[in-house]
This record gives sequence, structure tokens and C-alpha cells, in this order.
Amino acid sequence: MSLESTMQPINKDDDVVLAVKDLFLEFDNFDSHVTALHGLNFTIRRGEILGLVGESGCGKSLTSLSSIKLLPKNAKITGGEIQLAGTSITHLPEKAMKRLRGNTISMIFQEPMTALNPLIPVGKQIEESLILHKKISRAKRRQRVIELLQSVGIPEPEARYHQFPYELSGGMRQRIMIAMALACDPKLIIADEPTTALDVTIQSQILDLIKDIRERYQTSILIITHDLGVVADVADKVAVMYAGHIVEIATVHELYDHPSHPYTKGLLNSIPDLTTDYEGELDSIKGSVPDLSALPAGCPFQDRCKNVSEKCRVQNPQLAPTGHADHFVACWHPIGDETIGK
Amino acid sequence: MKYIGRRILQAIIAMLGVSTIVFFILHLSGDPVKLMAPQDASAKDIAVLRHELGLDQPLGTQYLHFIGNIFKGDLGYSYIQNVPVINIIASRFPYTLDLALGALILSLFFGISIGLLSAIFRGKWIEKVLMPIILIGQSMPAFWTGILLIMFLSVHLHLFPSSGVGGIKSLILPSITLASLSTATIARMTRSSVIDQLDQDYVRTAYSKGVGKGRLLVRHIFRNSAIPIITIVGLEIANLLGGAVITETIFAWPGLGQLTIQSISSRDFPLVQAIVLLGSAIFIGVNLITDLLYAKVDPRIKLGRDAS
Repeated sequence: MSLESTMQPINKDDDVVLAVKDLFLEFDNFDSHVTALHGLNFTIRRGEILGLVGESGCGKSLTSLSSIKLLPKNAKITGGEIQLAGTSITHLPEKAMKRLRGNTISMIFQEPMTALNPLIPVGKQIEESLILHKKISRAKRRQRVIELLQSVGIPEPEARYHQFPYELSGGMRQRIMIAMALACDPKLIIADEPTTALDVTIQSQILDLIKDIRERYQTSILIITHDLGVVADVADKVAVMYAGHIVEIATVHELYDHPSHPYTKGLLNSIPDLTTDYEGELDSIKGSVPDLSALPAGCPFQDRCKNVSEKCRVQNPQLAPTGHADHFVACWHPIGDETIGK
Repeated sequence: MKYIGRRILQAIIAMLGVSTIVFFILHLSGDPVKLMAPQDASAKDIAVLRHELGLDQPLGTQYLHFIGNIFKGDLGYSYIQNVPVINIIASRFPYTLDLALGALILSLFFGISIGLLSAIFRGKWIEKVLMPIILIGQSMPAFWTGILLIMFLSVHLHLFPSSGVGGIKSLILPSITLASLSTATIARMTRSSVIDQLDQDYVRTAYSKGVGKGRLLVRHIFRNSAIPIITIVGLEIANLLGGAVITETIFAWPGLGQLTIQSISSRDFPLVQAIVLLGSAIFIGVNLITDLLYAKVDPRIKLGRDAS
């Protein structure tokens, strides 16, 4: 099994903001040793929004934390490479990494309630990135924070500057988080379930804001979610993760129109569709996610897959082109093309 | 301001309660007249003495008299020394204050730095060395710590006087003895409070902005972990100012602690009552200051709102 041959072609051009190449990540617990990421490959270009979807525990958050090098202490990158704006950060010392965080790459978290420091006025929290990364005067910083607050749609920014997180609503707080992530005009923003904790109406506002930011600043965004609706709304490309593998990656329309991996198909079928009459229950994927510390040989999805064959039990399929443009799938029996892999 | 007014009113009621309890318990504890009178005093002499002290009146009358005098600011005369108890306390309090300050400075410095270090280096050797030391400090009673210190530092090494008052040098051993307990309490509280904060989500946010460890501690963690530390330090201050009975006795330190022991054993009712009253006033005062500090540290805490 050659890993080289399975790698997606990585473009050397300057347009690639994040390139993850054959990334392996291992977890060391007291009694177990778990490989949580199995050779991930993907790229994000300038101004592109990539959605990373999958169930909890599939490794999507670990992927995002690897990209900003904020992994838990017991997690270790054991293979592959991560390039951020052309620089390899895989083995970058912490001191250099600190200069990139909040500057070239920044992050939006799931819980705006707890992700902000409760005892620091929100304006000051936004300002902190500027203090750390930009050598500009106090007055200029203030001005920039006010601009940022305006640009994320916060009314009365001067007054908000001095308010504490508890004085703001959840949606407002998420806007503050976004302003904070934007402060130093980063090349890449990682948004880890940015709307999960919010009300539905607020969710769509925040997603609109994220799209708006991409339009205005050409920021690349890696959005992590378990919600395919969110992905359909904002992303250009989608990577579907399952048990530490990327099983399918394609543009949004391609993926929704021609899902190739049985898992993707299952995910899409489990979304209720108001235009269809349902006789019985919604489709669901049978079984549950396999234990990462005891993955079977072969395809990780084998035990839940209807199309499983002998080959699936022996050999793990790697991402391969489906024949459609920009569409890759890791499956021996992809849907719609029964010849691939045989 | 309205809040403070209400708190002061509460304090007065609490102190009234305390003095009532102390008054009755004291009068149950024995008869001071028998202790004061010379051994060969006649029954008549004793009766005269009892009358002079007002102890022959019904307990209720005595109580009303006592409470009435408190409101007049008159805490009475010491039975034994026959001077106003307020003067006796005023002469002793500076010593307790010195000792309390010494112990407080030591325990704040060592408590907070040990707590911080063992939180940051959780699981590392620094924590593994510091925490057992803390545990020893907390487990050793003051009389044992005091005796050990006297034995090694004054008897063997002649570094410090073993007892009594005489300049800053004499303050050191009792301060260490007194501080060893508070240091442990403060260190443990600091450690657990900081560890608690290190696990919060906002810490990860700060890291994602490029904040380093030092800045994280100073700008983000410290204020967030301050409230439990303030609480415990407040309690320690109140304890220290109330007089350290055991430590003062070991080192013959003429503070309130020693005075308490002396006044109780001679059944000097007015003096005991005054000391207890002062102790509770200090306790309530420190608590009030702590509460005011909470609101300063954490804007989410609104003063004057009822807990219900």
C-alpha cells in the first residue's frame, strides 16, 4: 500500500492556505494507544470554505486543533505534514507557533458563553490579538476594535467595547468571537461548530456573517460541524470524516447530488426532507462508530456498510478520484460507479 | 451605600447575638468572686465584693445592664486590674496586629506562589515536591511547629529569641508558626482554583489568539481564580486578628490570644466579653470587605441583591 500514490495532488501555488498531507495523529491514554487520524489529505485555498463533517469522535475537532497546534497534551502528530500559508508547522517550535496563532490563523469556538473570558470587557478581548501581533498605537487599536465590532454587525460598538460577555446575548457573543478571530486579518479561520450552541434564527445570521467575511476579506475558512445543513449553506467543498479517515471529499453540489461513499449517502438520507412524504422512520445508519482503539483491518465503515465485500475486510480503501471533477472517495464499491476499485 | 448600611445593621444584630450567648455561658462557667477574694476572706467580705461587682443582682438585670452599657460604648472595668477593659485590649492589640501582619505576609507570599507553581506544573516534579511540604504544614499543629522552631532555630542555632517581644527578630518565629497553617490553606485554595480555571474554555480561546503562559496567568487566570482565594484569605485574616491563642502562649507573645486565656482563667467577665465582641466585629468586618471585593473583581456579582 503506497501512501504516496493516494495523496491528493498538492498545488505548490500561493493560493493554498492550508495543506494537510497524510496526517497521522495518535492519542496516548493511560491504558490505551489510539490512532485518531489516519492519513488525512486536504487543502484549503484562498477564500475557500471547506466543511469538515462527521459524527462526534470522528476526529474533526482534532483535525482543526492540529491545524492551529493546540492539541491536548496526550495527542501527538506521528506522521505527515501541515502547511499553513506555505510554512510547514508540523514541527514548528511553540514560540514561532504563538506568532501565527491569532495572526495568520485564528479560531472560533462552539460555546460563545464559555469561550470568552467572563471578567474582561469584550473590546479588550478583541484588542488582545492586536496587542500581541500588531505594533500599533493604543488609539489605533481602539479604532480597529470599533471597526471590527461594526463589521461583525454589532450596534453601538463604542458602548459594547466596555461590556462584559454576560451582558451580551449568545449571538452577540459569537459575533464578538468572530471579531476576535478577524482582528489581525488572518489567512485562515477555523470555526469549530460555530452555530451549534445558538438558536436557529441566530444560526443563520452567523452563517451569513461567515459567508460575508469570506466575500469581503477573502479569508479561507475551515468549518467543522456535524450539521450537513450548515455545510450546504456556507461551504464550497466538503470533506466527510469517519473514524479518523476522510472518506469522501467534493464540492458541495457534487457531494449532495452524487454522494459516492455509502456513509455520505447514509448521512444525507438521515436528513428529513419536507418535500417527501415519510411512511415510516427516517433512514439511519445501522450500528455505531467503531472503537478507535480497535479498528478492524480494511475499511473502517465495513461493519455498517450494505455493500461490504471480502476486499473491504482486508484492505483499507484510499481516497481516489471518482471520475467527477474534484470528487474523491475512499471506497471499494462507491455508489454510482460499481467498477471503481474492482 | 444602602447595601453597606444594611450590612452594618446585620452586623450589629449578629454581635448582639454573640454577646448574649457569651454573657450567659460565662455566667454559667463559675463564680469570679471566689477566685478574686483572698483565701481567708469572710463570707461577709465576699458578699461585699459580689455586691460591688453587681454580681448579686438577678441575671436578667445584669444582662440588661451589660447590653445597655455596650450601646453607651462602655465595655466595663476589668475585675482583676480595675481599669477599663478597652484600655487593656488597646495595649495588647498592637502585638496581635504585628504578629498577624507578619504571618499574613508570609502566608500570602508563600501560599499564592506555591499554589500557582503547583497548578502550572501539575504532575511535574515541582508539584510533587511542593504539595507534600504543604501537607506537612497543614498537618502540624501550631504547638508542635512552634516547639520545633524554638528547638532548632533558637536553642541549637541561636538565630532567634525563643520567646518574648524584642524587635523584628522576635517576631519571626511566631510568624512562621502561625503562617504555616494559613500558607497551606491559601496554597491549596490557589492551586485548585487556578487548576479549575486552566480547564476553562476561555483559556483555549486565549491560546488560539497567541497568548503565552505568562500572559495567560496574569491577564486571564488570576482574576478569574481570585474569588475563592479572597474568601480564604479573608477568613485567615479574621482568624489572625482574633489573636492566636496557642502561638502566643508558646512564644509568650503579649497579644490578644494570651489575654484571652488569662481573662478566661480568672473569670474576668467584662474582659472576656469585650474580647469576644472585638473578635466578632473583626470577623464581620473582614467578611463585609471580602464581599465588597467580590463585586470589584467580578462584575457579575451584584451587591445588595438578595440571594433568594
